[in-house]
Amino acid sequence: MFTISFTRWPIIGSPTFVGLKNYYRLLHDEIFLKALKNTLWYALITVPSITSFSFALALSLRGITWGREFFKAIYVFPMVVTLVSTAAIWKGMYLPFGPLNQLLVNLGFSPVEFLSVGLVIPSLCLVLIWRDIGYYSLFFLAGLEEIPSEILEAATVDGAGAFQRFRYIIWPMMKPVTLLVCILVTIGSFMIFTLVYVITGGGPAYSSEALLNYIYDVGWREFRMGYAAASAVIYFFILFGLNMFERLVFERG
Amino acid sequence: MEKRILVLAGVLLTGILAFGTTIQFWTCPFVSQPENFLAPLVEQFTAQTGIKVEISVVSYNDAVVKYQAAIAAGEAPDIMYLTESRFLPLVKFGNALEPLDKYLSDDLRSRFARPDLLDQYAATAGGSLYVVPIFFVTYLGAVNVDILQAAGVPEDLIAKMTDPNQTYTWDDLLHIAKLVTKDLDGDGKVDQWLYAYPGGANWTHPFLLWYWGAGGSPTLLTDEGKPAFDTEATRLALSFLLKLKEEGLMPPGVGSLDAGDAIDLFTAEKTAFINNVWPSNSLKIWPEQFPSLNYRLVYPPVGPTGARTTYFGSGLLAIARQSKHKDEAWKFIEFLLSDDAQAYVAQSYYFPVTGKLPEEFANDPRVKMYYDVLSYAIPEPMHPAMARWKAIYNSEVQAVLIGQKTPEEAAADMQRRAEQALEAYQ
Amino acid sequence: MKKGTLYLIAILWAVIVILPFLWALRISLIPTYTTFVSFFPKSLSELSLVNYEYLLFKTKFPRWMINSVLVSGGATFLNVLACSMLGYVLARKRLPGSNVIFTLVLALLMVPYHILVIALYLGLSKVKLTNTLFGVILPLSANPFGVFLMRQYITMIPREYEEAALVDGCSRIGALFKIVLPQALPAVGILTVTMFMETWNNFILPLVMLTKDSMKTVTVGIADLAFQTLNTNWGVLMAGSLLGAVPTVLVFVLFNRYFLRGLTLHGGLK
Repeated sequence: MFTISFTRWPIIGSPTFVGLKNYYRLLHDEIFLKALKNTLWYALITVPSITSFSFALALSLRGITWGREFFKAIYVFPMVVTLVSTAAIWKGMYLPFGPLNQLLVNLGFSPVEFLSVGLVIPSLCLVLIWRDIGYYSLFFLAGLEEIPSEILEAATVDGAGAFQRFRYIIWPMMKPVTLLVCILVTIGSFMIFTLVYVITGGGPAYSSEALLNYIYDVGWREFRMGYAAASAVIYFFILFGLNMFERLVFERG
Repeated sequence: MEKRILVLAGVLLTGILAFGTTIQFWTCPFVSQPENFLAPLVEQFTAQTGIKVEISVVSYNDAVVKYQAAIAAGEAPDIMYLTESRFLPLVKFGNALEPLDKYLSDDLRSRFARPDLLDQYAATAGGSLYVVPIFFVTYLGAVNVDILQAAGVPEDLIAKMTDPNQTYTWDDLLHIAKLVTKDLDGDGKVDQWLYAYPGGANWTHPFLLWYWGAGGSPTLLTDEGKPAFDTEATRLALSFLLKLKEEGLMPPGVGSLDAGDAIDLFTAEKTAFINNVWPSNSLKIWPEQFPSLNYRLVYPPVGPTGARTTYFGSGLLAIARQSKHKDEAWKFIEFLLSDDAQAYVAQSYYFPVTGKLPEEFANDPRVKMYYDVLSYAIPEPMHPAMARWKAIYNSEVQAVLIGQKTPEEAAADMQRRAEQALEAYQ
Repeated sequence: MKKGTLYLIAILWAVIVILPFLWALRISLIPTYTTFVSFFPKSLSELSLVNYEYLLFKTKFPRWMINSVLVSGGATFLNVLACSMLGYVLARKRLPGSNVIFTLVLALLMVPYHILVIALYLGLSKVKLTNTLFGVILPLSANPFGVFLMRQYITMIPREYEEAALVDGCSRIGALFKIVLPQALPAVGILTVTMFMETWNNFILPLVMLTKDSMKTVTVGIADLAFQTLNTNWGVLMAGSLLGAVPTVLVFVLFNRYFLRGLTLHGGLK
């Protein structure tokens, strides 16, 4: 991939060495920069929301005894369903006259253009959030179940409130799991390819184009594999850097 | 007599030599399940020549991806299904297709309905012919008669739309749009419109239909060979679409609407006009799926500069340069161009490029309409950068529909980006 | 918080999770191309199974399902083998700390394989594996995350048992399969479920690698249904989407117990 990124290579021809030209071009490529920005938005929205919501869901699941297994099974369901299916179903959900808008109209609201420029990124994030929360809540729940209940009870007896219990007992023990979830969600948000591919194809006007979709389109549809490889190299380093940053934050904080 | 025996021996000999050869044919789904549709033809061909044909279906969306991988690995299929905008990059970047001039006899050439197109294909690819069409299709418009009549659109205006000798204009469309756009159920929200432009689709034709209608360049190039996007035609087309959108004459969300969704809106009787109806839709799927839909096919409108055009598409076949069975592959293509095969293909509602239409179609006035527009229908532009240009103009149209850019800005940006795209190919 | 509120949250989320699937089911049960329908059918006679009939008898959908099951099953099996062996080696040999390995594994997960797939294709075509199911299985058969998971888990298993077995003349491989793996079942459970899901979901690899219609996997088949050039047949698309999800759901239900138990230990990861 690194080698290819220094060449011009239509897959069906032979590669020619072009030095750093691809990288230079990338920095001036408005669509690439837009895709990069979008991808960072995807991560910025999904990572905190999925992590916190699934944590919250796990906390409420922990308080439930009767039917817990049932809920667990339901919650992982979207994760188990094939991603292409999920994407196709949500494509339908977001149709201008689709079920979500029908619901809004029936409730007395005006219909929403879910896939318009302003909303398309949150809309796609919502699919990811919908899909992932249940699954990651199982990670948190597993972590929570490891905290001996005697400690919590002892803390309650000592007069610790819910917040204090969370801050001083639960949170320190849950940090490794939280970091793991954060990292996995970050990688997942960068790999949002299939959802974008099926639901919007990157539109409107590239406002939902993710980096991976751009790489795929440029390499495979526009006969510029070298250029695509250069974008892929940048993609890799940004994602890697982001993960290192997350680990740093957790180790310090 | 001797001659005949010789010919017979020759036929037998080639038959024996070719026996057992299997050629690979990768096709796009121009009908659903083309492998089943083509099976009788293949059977007949195999019986005649002993050559077997194995058909694989590659989706329109991913065909280019699959061809590239296969060609790069030296595993290209013998015959590839392509479109006008798709064959050129394969020639230009990888020299991956076999020139067909030596195979195409004058007799066969003379049987083509539009031999000029063959020259055009050759000219864009530097003089050699790399593809031959096996069927063509044109686009017409359609109107929902019930909606138009209920909205009080004058009968003679409807008649004008369906009469080849009369014309109607973009202004007429605007007029009709104002009549039909309504709140039918009285809940304070408009729920019926004239037309939905599929702004979210990355298809070739939706924008070009309007661009050409406003007098745009058929090849998307100026006389100097530069992209022709920063032109009056682009601005006129974009302004008209923007006007429809701004005056509330298009349904909400057109900026992100898929081409299929736009068609769904018409068949669900939410919109009353559509300008890209191909025959298999209007003659087969709609009557079957939507029996209560009362629609009529209409000719394309005349644009502000007096131009009247529509889209001409065709299914093109090419032989891979890597193919080890080029002669056999050509035999199959030639077979598909025979009168019988062409008549059979016509049952898919794609029309023959040589030979005659089967009777049941020839007498159908709706089919005649599809033939009427043949003289001014424009084929998909052929240019190595077309895949990128398509993405560029579609995204700029979208930017206008969602209010990000004015038509002037979008036209200028289209031009700039199209030129940039060209640089990357030089 | 009150129990009632907790239940309310739990039930609310369950409903949100289920609703889109119900809508898909609703659409898959109407015979026309349209999506303009109310959520609740007016009468049962509105519903029909034509879309399912079409999928099962008029397309190669059943064949695609079988292919997918073969690919995912094969890749999962190979993954369990390869990951436990590699994980075992990594766990028992003195090697750089788990932090370094973890970083490496993550780095591997981050490489966009949309580009690498062309190199894979060219490589596999040299050994004549393109257009074979095995050509899809092979590149998927040693997932870095799986290796890491098995290594972590096996590190936690005390060495004493296997050392005793080794002394008794048992081979390393034998020790792995007879002694270590039975103790690592929860990790194997997680591995099985996640690998099955991942290979089932993999889209680009089978898309590029497999061309013959009879070779396609169900993911590629569903995408083909979604990108019909003619009108999108929503009914068939939704029917396909739902049916295509059945095997992964089944695998999950079967391995659910190990999976969830494994997660508990997985929670202590890192």
